Amino acid sequence: MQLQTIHTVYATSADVAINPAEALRYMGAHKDDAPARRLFEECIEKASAAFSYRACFSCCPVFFEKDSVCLPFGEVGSADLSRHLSGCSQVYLLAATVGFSIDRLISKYSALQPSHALAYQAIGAAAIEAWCDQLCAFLKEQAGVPLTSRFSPGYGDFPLSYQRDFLSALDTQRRIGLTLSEGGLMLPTKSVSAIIGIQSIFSAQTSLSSCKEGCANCTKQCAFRKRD
Amino acid sequence: MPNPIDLISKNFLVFDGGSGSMLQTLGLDAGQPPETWNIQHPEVVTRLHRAYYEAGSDIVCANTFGCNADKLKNISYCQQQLIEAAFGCAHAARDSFHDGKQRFIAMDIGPIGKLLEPLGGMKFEQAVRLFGDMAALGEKNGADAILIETISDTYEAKAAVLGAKEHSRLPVFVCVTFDRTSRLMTGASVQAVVALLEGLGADVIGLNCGLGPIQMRACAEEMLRFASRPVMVKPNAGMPHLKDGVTSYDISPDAFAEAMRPVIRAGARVLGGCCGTTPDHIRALRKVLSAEQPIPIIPKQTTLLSSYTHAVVLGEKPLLIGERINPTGKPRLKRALKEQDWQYVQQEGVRQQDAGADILDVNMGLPGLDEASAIEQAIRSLQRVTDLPLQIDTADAEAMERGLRCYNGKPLINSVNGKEQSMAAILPLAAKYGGVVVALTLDEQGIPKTAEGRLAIARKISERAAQYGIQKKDLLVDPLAMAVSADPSAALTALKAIRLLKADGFRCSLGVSNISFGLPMRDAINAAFFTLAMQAGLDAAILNVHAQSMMQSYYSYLALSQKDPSCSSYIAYCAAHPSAQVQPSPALPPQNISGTALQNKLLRGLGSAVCADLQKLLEGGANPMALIDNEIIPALNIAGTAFEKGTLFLPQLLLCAEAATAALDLLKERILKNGRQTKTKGRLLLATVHGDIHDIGKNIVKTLLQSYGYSVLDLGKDVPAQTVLEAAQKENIRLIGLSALMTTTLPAMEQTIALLHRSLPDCKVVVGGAVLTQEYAGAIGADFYAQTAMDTVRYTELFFAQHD
Repeated sequence: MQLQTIHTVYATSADVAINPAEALRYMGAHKDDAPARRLFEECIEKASAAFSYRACFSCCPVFFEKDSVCLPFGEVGSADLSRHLSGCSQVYLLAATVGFSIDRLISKYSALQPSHALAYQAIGAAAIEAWCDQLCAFLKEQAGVPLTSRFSPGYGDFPLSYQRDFLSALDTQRRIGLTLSEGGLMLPTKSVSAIIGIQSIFSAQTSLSSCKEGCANCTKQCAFRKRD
Repeated sequence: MPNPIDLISKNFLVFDGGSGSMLQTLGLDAGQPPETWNIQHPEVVTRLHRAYYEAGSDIVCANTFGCNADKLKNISYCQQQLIEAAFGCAHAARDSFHDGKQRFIAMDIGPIGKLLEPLGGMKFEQAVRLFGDMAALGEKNGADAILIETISDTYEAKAAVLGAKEHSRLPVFVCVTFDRTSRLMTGASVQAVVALLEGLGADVIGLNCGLGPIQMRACAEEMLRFASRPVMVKPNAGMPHLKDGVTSYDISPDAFAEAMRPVIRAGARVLGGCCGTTPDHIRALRKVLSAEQPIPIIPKQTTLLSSYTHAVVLGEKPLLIGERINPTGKPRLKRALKEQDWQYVQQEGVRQQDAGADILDVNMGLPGLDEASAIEQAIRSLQRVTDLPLQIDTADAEAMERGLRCYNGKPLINSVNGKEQSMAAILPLAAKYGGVVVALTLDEQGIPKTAEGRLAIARKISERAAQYGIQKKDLLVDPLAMAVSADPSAALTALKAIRLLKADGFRCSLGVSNISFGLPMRDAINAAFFTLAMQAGLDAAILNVHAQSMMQSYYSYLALSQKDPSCSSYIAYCAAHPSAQVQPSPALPPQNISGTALQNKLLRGLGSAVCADLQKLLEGGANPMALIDNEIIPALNIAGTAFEKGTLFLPQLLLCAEAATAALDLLKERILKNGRQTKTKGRLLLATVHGDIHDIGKNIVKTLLQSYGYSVLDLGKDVPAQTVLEAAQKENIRLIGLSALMTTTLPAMEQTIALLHRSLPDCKVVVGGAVLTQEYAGAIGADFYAQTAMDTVRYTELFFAQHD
């Protein structure tokens, strides 16, 4: 399944602001840790030169049937996704990437200086998140109504196996160079696919207030969980 | 039998326009693979081909773009069926259309849809097979040519051309897709693509998709500047934009055709359209072409080498070939190769790049080492860390072919000589895989005494090379500098040979340091000779880029010979090499941690400062063993404990481990030099399991283990269970660490553990990775679950303490 109307957008490092505190969190360090901060400063320039921000998205209708969600790329049996999109009649399908060069840096420094590989990997993770935040702000402006947070294949009970159909619906290989490996990993690795619900004006207030964002929404225990 | 290449030699060749996008307007569902219509609606596909013939296409593409076996796995038709049906449609269209002109059909081959290693998981040889199968089916079904198109990665392009050439005899057209930054998705420049594809013997090279004719013009002109083969341009119908909620393309057929005029006048000989173009676009294009004269295709004289990102030009200024990846006379590298420590090879490569090398020589000639497989491993490893072009250096034809096959670009081939046997072995390989061949001026009679004799051998090699289709510009002649201590005329003869060769149109290189053999202070002679050779016209030199005298000669020569505008390279070199290296020491001391001064430096990750201190202590008579026990290990323990308590974080733990590893290397070298054995703390194996390519966690564990003095056999990522078992058996390893990041690859981890426990019951397996838990690790039979990298170190310490 491939969608009719897909938009492709680009940005450069000048357009996307990476939050150092986020990068340090992905490095497994406290946000005031001086050695980690120095490492970040040492690597951010080369990383920024490597990023090639690309994304494609499409707006499409969504229907609900009992516990499954009907989307253009398939009928998804996921109660969590259904709950997440409740009250929405349209969604954005989004795929975004920061490109291959950061993977090359991570691979290079894994062999040479693993501390720097750690930093590049963290900066890459912070970059794709920042890029997605920026895209969502842009989409929200386009839609003119509130949006739900991003919900990706693999979240909750939304099976990761939908990734392939999701990406081919957005024609990501040709448009932004985003592919899946045999094992279902996204390549470039610093990439995100997500569904974002477009809230209809009437449902907006109720469902938004009940929807917890990001880490607070997740039931998994993980080393990178955001702490306030 | 006429073929489309004959037509190109006299005239333009016109392809068709979009087919997937056309079929959609004819009713194909947006999500449906267009190839299924070959069987479901052959009449529509046939009509579309015919419409293109009528519009003026000389050649149409059979509807086979996505027909690779990997992509078709989820479709109910088989590959053979779909391709046969596609050619049924194309032949029916051609047979029904007669206007007295010759019409052709191409087998259309698109990308596989998966990324090749090392960025992705698809193996190079697997890709060659997938492309080869398609090409063979195309030929069997009556194709006149193979069109490989919309490729956005050089490695995939190489696999495709090799597959097509090895499995068919048809002419091969290759089009790649550049983005708005004039690079392929995986980074290659236009020049790098030209070097690679012409080297591989593609018959026509070009560009398609991604951009409209206006945006594509710059790339097309760049390609035409360097290409000696016909160039093909097949853009989209402008750039897509949104109109009334539908994506449409922004220029009309007439505007499209008009926008093609500049590239036609710049020399493009093969033209067509991609997404969004229709028979009307082709008709308009034909009209424009009827008023244009084809520009002759002139072979270009630029000598190009390339890597997966960029090309270097031989002949503009002398290039430096770093000679350090060669075990001859290098005990540290020998040891690394015996231990399969590819990381050391990678580090040596990057060190030379940082020192100014333009190209890296790769030589794996070491008795007892399987040279063919070592050279492949070395090249694959280097391609992960450096984007420099490589020189494949071996006397073994099998090793040469293995290296040439897996290299992602157009390499230097070192070497051929005037002996019949050498030419017969090496030249066919160079012709097939592409490359610039280093030609040594010696033959069955040895090295001629005179410069004229050496020129004669160069000419002989050049003539033989021409028979294989290798152009003179792709030979780099080495006239062989002999020791001046043995033959006083050696330097003058070599310099004269360079001048004669250059006057005869050859490119020249030299191994410079032979000249000083047998003399004291060799650096002085080498540097002086190097300057003279550059002045005589040397295009490249193989040398030690860490030798200061050579680099000084090099940058001085560039500045003096007007090859370094405003002396900027010279100044940059001087700035990077101040006479006294002062290591600035960061102001912030680590908090809450105390130890000796040396330990504090280790804890701050100041590797070079630590090594300098150790050097001084050793000169003062300190015992290297004691330094390991009293300084390095305690520092690591301080860091490890602080990490476990949460007062020191992963980045610093790694910085400390890296500094400790550098310190250990230095101390071990000293111990070996003193003629004693180093105490091996134990050897273990690490691997990221099959299907998983996230190996950063494993690499962190490896760094920590090495800093503690363990020897690690790192099998890398995406490692099949059987490979882990075989390596463990071969090296008699009893402790194995496995990592996996994704839930989808946990089954592979479980299978690997089961196989290991079944075949090696004494062997212990440690597992780690983001998605693992203690509970899950227990369920899949792991002996130990390491939540952090330090956990693995602690377990390893315990394991070897109990087993020694």
